[in-house]
Amino acid sequence: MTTNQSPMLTDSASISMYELDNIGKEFPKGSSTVIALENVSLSIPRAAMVSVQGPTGGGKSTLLQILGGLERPTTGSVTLNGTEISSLRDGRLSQIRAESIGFVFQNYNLIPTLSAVENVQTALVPTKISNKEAQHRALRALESVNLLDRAHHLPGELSGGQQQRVAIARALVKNPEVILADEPTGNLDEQTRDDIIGLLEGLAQDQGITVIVVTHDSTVAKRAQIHLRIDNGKLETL
Amino acid sequence: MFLIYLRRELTKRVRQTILISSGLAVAIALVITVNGVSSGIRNAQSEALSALYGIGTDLTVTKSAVGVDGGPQSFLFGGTQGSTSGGTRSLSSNRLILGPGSGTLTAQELSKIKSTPGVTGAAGVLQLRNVSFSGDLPTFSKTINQFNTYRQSQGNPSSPQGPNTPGSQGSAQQSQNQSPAPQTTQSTTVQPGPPIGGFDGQGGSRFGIDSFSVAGVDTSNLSIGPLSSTKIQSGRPLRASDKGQDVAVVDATYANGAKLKIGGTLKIGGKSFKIVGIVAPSSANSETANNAYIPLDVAQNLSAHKTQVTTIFVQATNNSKISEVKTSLTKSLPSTTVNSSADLASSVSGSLANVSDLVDNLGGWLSLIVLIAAFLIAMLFTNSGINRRTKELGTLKALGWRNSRIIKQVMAESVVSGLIGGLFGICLGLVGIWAFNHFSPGLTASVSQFGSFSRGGSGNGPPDFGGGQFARRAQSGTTTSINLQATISSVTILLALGLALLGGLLAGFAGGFRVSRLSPAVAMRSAQ
Repeated sequence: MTTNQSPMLTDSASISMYELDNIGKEFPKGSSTVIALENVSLSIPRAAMVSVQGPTGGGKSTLLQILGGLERPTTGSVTLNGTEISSLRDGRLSQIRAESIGFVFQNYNLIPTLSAVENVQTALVPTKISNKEAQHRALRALESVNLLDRAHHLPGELSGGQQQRVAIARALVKNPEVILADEPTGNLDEQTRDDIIGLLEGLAQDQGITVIVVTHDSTVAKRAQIHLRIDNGKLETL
Repeated sequence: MFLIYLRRELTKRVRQTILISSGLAVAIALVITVNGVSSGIRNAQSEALSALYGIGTDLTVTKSAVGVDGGPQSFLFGGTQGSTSGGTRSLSSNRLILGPGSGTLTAQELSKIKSTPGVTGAAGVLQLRNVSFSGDLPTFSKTINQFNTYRQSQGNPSSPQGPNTPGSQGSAQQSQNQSPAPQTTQSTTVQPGPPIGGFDGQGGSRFGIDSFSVAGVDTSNLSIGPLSSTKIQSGRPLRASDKGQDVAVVDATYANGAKLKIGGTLKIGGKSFKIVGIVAPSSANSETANNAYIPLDVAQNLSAHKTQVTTIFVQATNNSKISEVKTSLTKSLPSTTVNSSADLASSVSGSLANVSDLVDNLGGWLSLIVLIAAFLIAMLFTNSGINRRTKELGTLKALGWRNSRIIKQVMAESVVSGLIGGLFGICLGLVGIWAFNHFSPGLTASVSQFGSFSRGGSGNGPPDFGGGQFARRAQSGTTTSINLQATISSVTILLALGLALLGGLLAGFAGGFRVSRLSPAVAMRSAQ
């Protein structure tokens, strides 16, 4: 499928979580530019689990960052749940990230000086709920990833799998509409990998959260309902 | 969450907190110490000046001399003056004169000053020097008689002196009784004998000159002027009822050297004054401005400067008026010299002035350089810490934290580091001040008396024999030994704390702002 076509057309735009229209992204590199994405159009339905695969440097992470509002596309538009986010001001974009999008990173990106529960609470800071309520919700999120007994441990005191569970709890705690996971199992052993993928799968199936996972791992990709591949900035379905 | 995150960052990254804090602490400690020493020096200068000018004096008005007081400065003795005993004639004389270079101000000028707007009080002082001469000489008449006898023995009857030469009576008898020289006869050669009389019995002479300063003070207004900065060590102070009385209070150091005591007498201008009090400076470890203080009217009568004074001490209604009053007085009394306390401060010299210059110049620059360096170090360390945390802060941005919240969080951490540094620096500064006060050497401050001495005056007459050089030296400066004590005020402490907080604030803002400008994706791509 060509990149200027939607690889996943949904029945109705109203039930799509994401609509990407002709997205392009270029990065300056010295006097030239590197094209990270080229004419990507895409529609992603709600509550779907989507895998994005492709070679290193192919544009997977760039796509994920554009979906999460962490980067702005050079061309085209991104609509999240009916809101065009690519042209929003920083403040509004931060608000959307705070309310609607949960991130899970390969290296967990936990704050090393904060305990597990405090790390989860950081996701609730922009929502301005009380500390007590934030802590309560953070503990519930940790419970949902079976990590309540480690709530007051620092990241350095947790295993890789446990740290990734904390990161997932952090993404979950705000009840997001979307979870964007960038190589969430990249640093984990097989057993832990399966646990984490099972967890993400459950979020999509049980909680209706749209989960988009960038991965190199075919085992992980196979668990997704929708499979995308990006190579050299161009998107294709598998 | 704000406070939890703040506390965790400060306590879990102790090394960085200590680095930033200690950089600021050293700078703050230096600023406090230099400031404390500067303040101590200002106090010492003020102490040195108050010992001379009196507490509460804002301005002094003086006038340069137009001639040498009392005519040529010499002592004249008539042939019959003094007392003779054993071939020795003892002479003594006492003069009360103005100090070299000192001119006089009139009662009208004093009244004019008192009525100047902004002047709350003024008191005149007549600054004098009591110069006394004493000496022993041989009785010259005896030597002349001896010479006549010798000439007669040589067949020359002529005599340098007639029969009515003063002192000729009794000289032959003294020659017979006292001279061991060979006696003359008509038939033998008679040689003149060695001189007789004088302090050594061989015709020698001895002269002594003594000089001390005397201030005639207005006993009805002692709150302004040189006695205002003194305290009574024993006896009593001068009072209004002493007007017209021959009473004096004496400086403690001078009294000690001259062995003067309460109830004793001191000869001033040929008159005996009863010593009623011994005074010492109220603060400085030194002498008071004058050796003796007597009622102004008595001093004026004795020195033949009736109704005149040499210095007028002026008090302004408040500090802000000093400059205005100075300008008014300079205009209304153009022939006078008006000095303010600020002008007088420049007259302080000696090791105190050297230290003052050192602290003002080197100390000021040093504290500024260290402060800038500390700010830069704080910013560098804060930036370095933020650089290491760029990915972490980028993650928070990805989670939806606004830029303002990121900056606030980073600034809070930096400000607390500054606060810790500031508090630690204040403690360190206090230790520095304690150490300075504990080990500081004693300093001396020399103060040019009455400021205007150097103008005119000294060129109007030759240095006088009667103690002029002594008087000049004593008049031109008073040396005070001062135990320099660095001080610290609450304002300095607050200022130091403010500087530390400012340092933290700036460092935090710069670092936080830089990170907040990065897109979350770029921030997260940075190496941790």
